[in-house]
Amino acid sequence: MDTKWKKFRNNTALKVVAFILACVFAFLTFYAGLNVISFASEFSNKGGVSKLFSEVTDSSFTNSIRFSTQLDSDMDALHKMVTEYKSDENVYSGNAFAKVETDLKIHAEEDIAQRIIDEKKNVIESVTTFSDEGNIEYNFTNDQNAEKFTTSNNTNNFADEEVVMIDGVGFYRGIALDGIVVNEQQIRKDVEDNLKSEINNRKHVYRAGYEENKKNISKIKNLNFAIRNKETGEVYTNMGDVVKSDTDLMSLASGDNWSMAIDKGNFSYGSKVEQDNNYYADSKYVSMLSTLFDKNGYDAYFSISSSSNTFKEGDAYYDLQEDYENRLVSFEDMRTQVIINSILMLAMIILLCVGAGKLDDEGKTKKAKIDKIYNDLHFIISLVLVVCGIVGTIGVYESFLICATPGHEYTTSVSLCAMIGVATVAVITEWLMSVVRHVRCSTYFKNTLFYVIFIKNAKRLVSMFKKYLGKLKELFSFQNTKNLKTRMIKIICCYAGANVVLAMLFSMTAGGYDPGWHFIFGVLMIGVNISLVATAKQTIQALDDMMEALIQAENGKFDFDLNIYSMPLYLRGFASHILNLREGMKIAVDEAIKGERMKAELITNVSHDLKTPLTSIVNYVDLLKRCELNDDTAQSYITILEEKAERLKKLIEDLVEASKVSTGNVQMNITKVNLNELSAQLAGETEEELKDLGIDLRVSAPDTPVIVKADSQKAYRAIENLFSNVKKYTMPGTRVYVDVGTEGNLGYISVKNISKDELDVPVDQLTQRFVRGDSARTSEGSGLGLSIADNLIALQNGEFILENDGDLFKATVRLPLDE
Amino acid sequence: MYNVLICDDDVAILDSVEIYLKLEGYNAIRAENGIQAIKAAVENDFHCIIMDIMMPQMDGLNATLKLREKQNIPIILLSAKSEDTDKIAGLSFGADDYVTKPFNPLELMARVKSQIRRYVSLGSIQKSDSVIVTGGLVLNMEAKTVTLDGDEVKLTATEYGIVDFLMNNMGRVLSTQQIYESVWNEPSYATEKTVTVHIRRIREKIEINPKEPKYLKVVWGIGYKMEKI
Repeated sequence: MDTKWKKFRNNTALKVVAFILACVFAFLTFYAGLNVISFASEFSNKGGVSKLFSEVTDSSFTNSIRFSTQLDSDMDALHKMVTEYKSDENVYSGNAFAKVETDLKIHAEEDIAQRIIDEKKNVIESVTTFSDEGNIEYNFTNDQNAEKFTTSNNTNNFADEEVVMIDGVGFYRGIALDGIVVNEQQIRKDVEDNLKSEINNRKHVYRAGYEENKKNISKIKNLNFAIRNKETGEVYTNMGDVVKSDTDLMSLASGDNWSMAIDKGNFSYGSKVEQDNNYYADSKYVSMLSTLFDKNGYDAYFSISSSSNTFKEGDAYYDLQEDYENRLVSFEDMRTQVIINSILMLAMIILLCVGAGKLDDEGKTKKAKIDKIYNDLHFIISLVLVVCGIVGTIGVYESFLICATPGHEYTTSVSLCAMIGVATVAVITEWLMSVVRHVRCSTYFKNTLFYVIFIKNAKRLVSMFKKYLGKLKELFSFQNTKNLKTRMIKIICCYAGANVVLAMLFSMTAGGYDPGWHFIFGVLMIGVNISLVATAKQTIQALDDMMEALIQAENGKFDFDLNIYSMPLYLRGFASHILNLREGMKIAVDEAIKGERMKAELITNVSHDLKTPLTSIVNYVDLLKRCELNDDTAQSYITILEEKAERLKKLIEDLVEASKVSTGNVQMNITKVNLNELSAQLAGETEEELKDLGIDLRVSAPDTPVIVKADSQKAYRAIENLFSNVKKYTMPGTRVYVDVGTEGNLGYISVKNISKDELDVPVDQLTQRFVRGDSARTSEGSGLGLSIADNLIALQNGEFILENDGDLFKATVRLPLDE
Repeated sequence: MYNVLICDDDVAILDSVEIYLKLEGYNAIRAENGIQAIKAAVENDFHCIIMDIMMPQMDGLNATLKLREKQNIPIILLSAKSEDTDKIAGLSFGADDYVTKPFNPLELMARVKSQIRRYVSLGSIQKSDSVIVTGGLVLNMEAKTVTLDGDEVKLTATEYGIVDFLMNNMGRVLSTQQIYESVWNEPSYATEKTVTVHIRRIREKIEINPKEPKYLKVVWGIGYKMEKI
């Protein structure tokens, strides 16, 4: 069994056959079904698809629309015959036509009157126009013409194209029609000429119509009629003298026959009419009989033979009856065909569905090329085609098949309808097979467009969404300060775009058609602009704050604060950078202060640690000196030790001082210092010592004391260093000059001496630490004295200058004068 | 026999100072930190205390403060800290003298001697209007003498005049001009050097270390003053 199935599934030819069979069965189903439906719609009182199953055998051809139509035309012919034509003589003598002629003449008169009015309107239109406000403007060419017109005061009443009647006078655009003169004779002549030819033509047509009418009536064979003039009692009938003598037409219209009659306004009908209880039934006939005959002064009787045996060949009723009989015979047949063929069709479709999809060697279902179409798309396409098919079938059915006369045209229409149905079935079958193939491969859902977009590519979709969201965020989040320009341009573009769009919408909705939207767009536009102004204000405020903060930072104050959250987003990053800078600077300043303190502590500690052992050295050298040493050499060694210990002490002191001074780690007590006094004090302190060295000290100072701003102790330290240099390096037997004076806003004290030895080092390097005049460094001294002096004077806002001219060495200290 | 407490955390210094004290004939007692010093001060009766500042456990300043609560013994601070601020702090904590390391041992002994003499003998000098005292320096205007720790200082008439003027204006900074006009009793004209030379000589006579004067201080560029102790 399985192999058979497999064979079937892999056999394309078989499946094509099955498909063709399905189509054929579908065609047959639709063909038969449509026949059944079209027959049932004519003869059944049921509607819709239920017509397929309605009982039609009880019906009769008199229940059809075609019967009703035929009856209508015959009744009309009879009506014309009895009311208008009456007889050959009446027609050909012209009596019957006289009435028509009168009507034509009346029409002609009306036509003339209307034409005159139209002509007058034309004349008025030629001298009037409508102004922009809708008022009438009169453009008379001269005053004479103007006199002919009577104008109404109230022009607004005439601002339309109608003739207005005021007090029996016709006005058109405010001008009385009576006042207009037109060529009435010419109009009348034209119309009457036309009338004459019209009457001639109509006379011939009338007679031809009569002949046609007579012929149609003579064709009636199976419809019995009797029409009686109520006044004269004259009867027009095809039933012979039997009816002529009978005065009661009503009594005829009874029994099993299809018959009906109207007599003296009373209506009666036979039971067959009652059976035809579809919408053609009695009420329609009542109104027909009433309007066509009763109201024109006639009683009427109509009947059709109920038995088909008595039907005579040759008229429309016979054809109708014949057709009905024939189709009735095949009706049941057709119905059976519908059932059988539809079952077969379904069987074929099921077979195709079950056999859908070829199998490969491994027994897996292979998909057809068409299965590559996304399934939901496939479904929608099929659905659209099926809907089109159904609509098409119904359309063709309704336009051709209802009441279609059986024949070539009818069959073609049914075939066409069925073909559309077949196509629809084919589409459904194809779709079903595709579904089956996908289900077998378990790929139905995966092959939907929905799946591909939203599930298979979900990640990509999400990442794409995130990417765009990110871009949007980046546009509106301004934590990083990069590309502010680009983003500002984007924002400005967004703003301008929004404004333009809103302005366009605002103006488009203007004019009161859409006041709500107009208002909304207006409010939105104002909102956008107000928010821009607000943002601009916020921005400027933020920039102001930040500038203020930076000025404070420049002045070394780091206690400012910025409220980041009151700033626009795009400046927050910038502001936070400033705050970070503040934090960084705070830390740096703290670090620097801490560093300075540590440096000062280090100097103190180092000096302590150096001085403590030195103390012991000094003490024990002194103690050693007191020991009873007989060796002179030992004594000399001790002297050297003493000297060097002293030297070391001086060096340590200088070193500590130099480091303190060079790092600015000294407290300055700036007071008024008298340089005259200072020079005198120095002279007093050192004069004797210098004299011992063979150096003569000369001090010169102005009479007015030179008062400078300085720390007296520190200023002395600086100058004392100069004097100690003088002691060390001055050539004995020379003079040392100390001068005090003022220079601009500086007071100075200078020391000039003659060097004992030649300076090995450029003079401007002497203020550097550990630089000494003799590069061999043989002399005592730390090499720090001038450096300390230089730094000390600088700390007192002064200047320390060293000069030499050959062996003449000059040191000048300048300090700011006290004002 | 005077008892001197020597307190330092450096044993070598302790040893050397002890030797010097013994050479001077004092009874030296050692302590290695502030706590030991206070303990020793309670147990013994001292005439002078030499105290290092930077010591473990309790430093010299705090020890001085503690000792000063009960006793009036002269305290000489001995420190490597040589800044003016350190000296001021030490003296204001109650010390009587301040010697910076590395010190001259003879200078230290002189200061110890001076402190003991003043503590022992000059404790109850009769103060009168004609006598002005600052530390161990006494000016007797009636006798026209100046004594330092009880010993008379030999001064010339001019030198005495300067000391007299300075001590009568104790604590005030006096310029050379003022001193000259007052002492020489004539207008000063380029005579500052005369005064400064005299003052240097006076310092050499009354100060233990003239370069670090205790009584007669130089205020550079302004003048001189007699320190009130």
